[in-house]
Amino acid sequence: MADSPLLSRRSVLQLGGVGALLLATGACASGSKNTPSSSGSGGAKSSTLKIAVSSYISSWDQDFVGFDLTALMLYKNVFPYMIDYGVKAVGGSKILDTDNIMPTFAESFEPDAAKKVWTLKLRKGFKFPSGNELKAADVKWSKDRAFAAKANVAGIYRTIGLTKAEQVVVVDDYTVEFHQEFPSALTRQIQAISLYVFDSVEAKKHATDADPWAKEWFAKNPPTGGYFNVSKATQGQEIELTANEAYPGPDPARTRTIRISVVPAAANQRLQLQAGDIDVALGASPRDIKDLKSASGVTVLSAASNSQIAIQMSTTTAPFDDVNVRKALAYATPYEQIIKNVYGGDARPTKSIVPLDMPGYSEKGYPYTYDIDKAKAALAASGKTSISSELVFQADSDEQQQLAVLVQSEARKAGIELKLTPLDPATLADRRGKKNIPLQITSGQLWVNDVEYMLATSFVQGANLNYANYTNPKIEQLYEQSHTTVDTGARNQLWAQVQEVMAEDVPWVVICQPNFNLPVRKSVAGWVQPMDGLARLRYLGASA
Amino acid sequence: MRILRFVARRLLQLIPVLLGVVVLTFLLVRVLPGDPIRTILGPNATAADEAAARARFGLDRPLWRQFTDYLGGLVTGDFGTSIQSGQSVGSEMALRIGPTMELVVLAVAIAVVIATVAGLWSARHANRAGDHGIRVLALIGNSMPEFWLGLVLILVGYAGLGWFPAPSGRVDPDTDLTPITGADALDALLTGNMPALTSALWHLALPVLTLVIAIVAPLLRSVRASALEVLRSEPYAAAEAHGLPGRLLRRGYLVRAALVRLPSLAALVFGFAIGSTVLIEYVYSWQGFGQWALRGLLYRDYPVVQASVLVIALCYVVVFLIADVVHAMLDPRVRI
Amino acid sequence: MSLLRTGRRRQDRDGRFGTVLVATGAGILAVVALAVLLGPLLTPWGPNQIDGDAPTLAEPGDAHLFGTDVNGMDVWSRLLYAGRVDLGIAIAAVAAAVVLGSTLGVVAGYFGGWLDDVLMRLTDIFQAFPTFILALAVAALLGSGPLNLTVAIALVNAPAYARLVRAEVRTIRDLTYVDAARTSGASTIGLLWRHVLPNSLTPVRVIAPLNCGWAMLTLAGLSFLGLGIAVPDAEWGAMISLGTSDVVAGRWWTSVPPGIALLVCVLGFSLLGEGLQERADRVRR
Repeated sequence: MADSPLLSRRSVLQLGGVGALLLATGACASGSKNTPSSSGSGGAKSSTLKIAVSSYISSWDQDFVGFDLTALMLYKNVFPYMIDYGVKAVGGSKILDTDNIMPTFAESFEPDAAKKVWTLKLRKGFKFPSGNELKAADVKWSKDRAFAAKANVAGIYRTIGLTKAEQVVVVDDYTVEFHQEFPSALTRQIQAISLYVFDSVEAKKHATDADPWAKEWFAKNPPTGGYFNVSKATQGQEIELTANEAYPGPDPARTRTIRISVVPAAANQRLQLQAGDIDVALGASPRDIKDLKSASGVTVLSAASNSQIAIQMSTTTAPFDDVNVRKALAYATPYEQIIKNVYGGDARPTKSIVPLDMPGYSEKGYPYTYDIDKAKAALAASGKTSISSELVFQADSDEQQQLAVLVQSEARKAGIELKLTPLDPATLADRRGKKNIPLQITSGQLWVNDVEYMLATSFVQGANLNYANYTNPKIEQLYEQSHTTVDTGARNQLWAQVQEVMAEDVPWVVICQPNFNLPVRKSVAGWVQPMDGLARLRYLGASA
Repeated sequence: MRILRFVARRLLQLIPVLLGVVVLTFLLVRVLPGDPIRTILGPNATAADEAAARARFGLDRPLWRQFTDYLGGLVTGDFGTSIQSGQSVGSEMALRIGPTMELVVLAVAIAVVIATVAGLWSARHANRAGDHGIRVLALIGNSMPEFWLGLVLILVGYAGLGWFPAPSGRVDPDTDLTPITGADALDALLTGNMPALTSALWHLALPVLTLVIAIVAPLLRSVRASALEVLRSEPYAAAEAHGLPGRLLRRGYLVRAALVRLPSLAALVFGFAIGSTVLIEYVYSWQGFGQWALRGLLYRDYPVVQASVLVIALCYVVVFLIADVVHAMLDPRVRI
Repeated sequence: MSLLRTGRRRQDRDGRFGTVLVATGAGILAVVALAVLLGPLLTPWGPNQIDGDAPTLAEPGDAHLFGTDVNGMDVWSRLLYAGRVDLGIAIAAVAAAVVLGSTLGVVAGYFGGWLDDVLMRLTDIFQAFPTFILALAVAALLGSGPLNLTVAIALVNAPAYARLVRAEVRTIRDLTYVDAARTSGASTIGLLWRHVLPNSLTPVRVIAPLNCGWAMLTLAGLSFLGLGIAVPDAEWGAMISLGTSDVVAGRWWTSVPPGIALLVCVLGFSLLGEGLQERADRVRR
């Protein structure tokens, strides 16, 4: 799960990406609805597009520091990523197709028969703005750097059996091989996130003995050679992107210039959008979106999303170590009221710990609906009449705050007294690291649309996002079993068992799946719904 | 000469104060709950990854060692590296100071002028309706939360009337302003870029107005009270009785005497404003010092917090020193 | 001696307006205090009670005088209960700052010497420290409960009182009546308590009301930054902040009433302070 504070109002705090940003790959927008057909505007490059974001990027250096949503979104557009998702049309709107990962800057990326060695072939003749050609050495240097950073990419590479730089092998100037320790169904997905490349010839000029990876230089200087180049960046305030004419692959940028300005106050973004001073408001709050749907000159792009809102209950801390107490909270949560009040009806109820749209989703045996009597009964079964706990959420998130207030109000009726504890990003990250939060709201989407992946990240012992400290031998066993189960039907049977166990254990109260919404000016065309939440700006154009 | 000796002595006194601020900040950020490192790592980071990142910023060293490293850096003008951005704190700060200084200096200057004019007028028309009106109005302005006032001004001036530019950015990017100091209006003046100057001033209008409204009351009060004191003093009454012309009377007797107390108060107001523009900056998307310091604090970006507190404290004490010197020059009674 | 007489008449007029200011300020505060104390009698709704039947953001009407907010809570009753929090914290914080500051000021001023130096340098350090960052840090350190916010705001304000009182004490301690008391064998504590402290608090009486207003604004600012009183407890600054999205959409009732409440209340303190100052000036003249 990932916390996505992107759309939060109170970014006065400028709380960027705190928690896990595990880019979503999965999902589908089968439920996509009411997205306007915005495919007009031909191929001509329109002039300038203005986008408002809530906070400035933390850094340009994706390997060592950058970990907020604004930064990750920009990286997608300014780094040459060798492969990326394709686009498919669903119900009149366009979304990134996570099943179709295709070469963009690269020519091809294919495995050998054993699916252990993957070969990346580069296009000949693509040059960085410095004039250096992108070659295998750049890929090698970039991935060596990622391993050396021991941060983001190094972490996710482990899931596909890449743990050291030696596994990335240069074959010739235009060919690189990735030697995985084991075959993985997730390789394409993980590499789509990780295969970004630096201009290593340029970078090496700025490397020193003390700073072999030119950290200092990359902290200040944006990467080059992506779909867009950064033509101007005023720290904290504005970034100007210019389309990269040299891009060799499919779907080049449709807009020549994109200006990204930092507007922390959501109300302010909304006013500017209504006045036409910005074209896209990436930091509008759910409440603004409700109103903007009827504002003149503004369109709200909307699509079903696999982002999931839940309350994780620590299964190792009293009082939630008692399954009956967990059940009580699951019955006391006002699901429908939350969907209505917090999301303006723009969210889907879910009846499983597995997200809707994930293969294997099953509601079977999931009993939890809002029912105070059952909540009281469950609490009585635990032998307690009243309990108290803190409920932790992100201080910068209006949405989570509202949700917490509603849960607190209803839980009280069942005898559960909650103390609301908003935390700033540093404290939240610290306490999550120490896993000492009894009750917390989480929101976000999974990277890979697969239950095995979900278990790996969230429900097995020691999993990073397992803030609930949940363990169950049965789940561990099903998880083990799934490694070798390839048949879809067989996997779905495993998942049905997983969901039955989870329904009984309730480590999380799954609240709902809010739809993705983005308010834009009517003239903005070509939006492609990013299933990882990171906008690909190259598709955007202004028809005016 | 006496002035110089006075300044030198006062500068010397600043050293223990600033050192105290340095120590206090250093300890304070470190006792705050929250971890500066975890927010820059992905969720898949292992304990080893975390340790590596911690070592990169020297946070694995003993506390005294971290402090001496920091102090050593300070002596050479090195504020350290921001944990969040990986950039040098000094260069980040250089970018952030200009916008805030521009805002605060302009606002304090305008507030001082308004306070002087209105305060003298008010004193000369003491206890009439106009006097009461001005004072109560100033108090009302002083009683509003700045963020609320800012929002109202945006709603009226931008969304309603459309007179002011969008509250985003500080100058129209199309004017191609070359940044020098970071204070856009000043840079436009220096480079002779007239469209940029107009644009920058226009962007400044509402935030400056907000700050002026919030700070004018105490200044006005001080000028009025001093002026009243002069007006009711026997020397003034005597001069007036001797039939001195009004202009001379006002210039020679009133203005100078009435403004004696203003510098130190203006310094106080300045110090207050510079430490609390963060709310105004937020409302107007003004990417200045306050926003930067606040973000640093929320993410426990130790070097950023340390640097911003030190610089604000430095501003504060230096402005006070200047105020004292000015006061001494205006008021011959002050012995230095 | 017509000069002197007109002078006195003028001063009387000053005094009269000062009295008007004091009366107005005190009147405003009395009304607010009364409303806040009688809160439960003036509204059928609890401050944190969610009206399940009314829609969220319901317009003002019979059921809800000022409508409901985004959580479906009654704005009027939150307004009343928030007043308790705001007034309570502001007054408590200033009182604590006065006690702490005056104690330090008296000690530093009366004993002088190295103690004075050390204490004054300490207050210098705290005064040079940016207010907001100090308040934020203390709030972050202690947590965001009302008590901790009180401590934070008190700490920020105490140095100013220390300086003020110290300056007064230094003039008073050498006055004859203190000498007299000293030579007649009064203990130091008794001397400070009975003779020095009461007389050195004169300027504090003027500053404290102004300071209360300022403390309320600080609290509101902290709440606006999300670091004030935690939800769902009501506080004016937090209410304004929560309502900013609404006011942009034309729904004034969630943030304008707390905005006005805060304005009126702070203005009450300002008028009171201004009036007291005016009367103090008159006495001094």
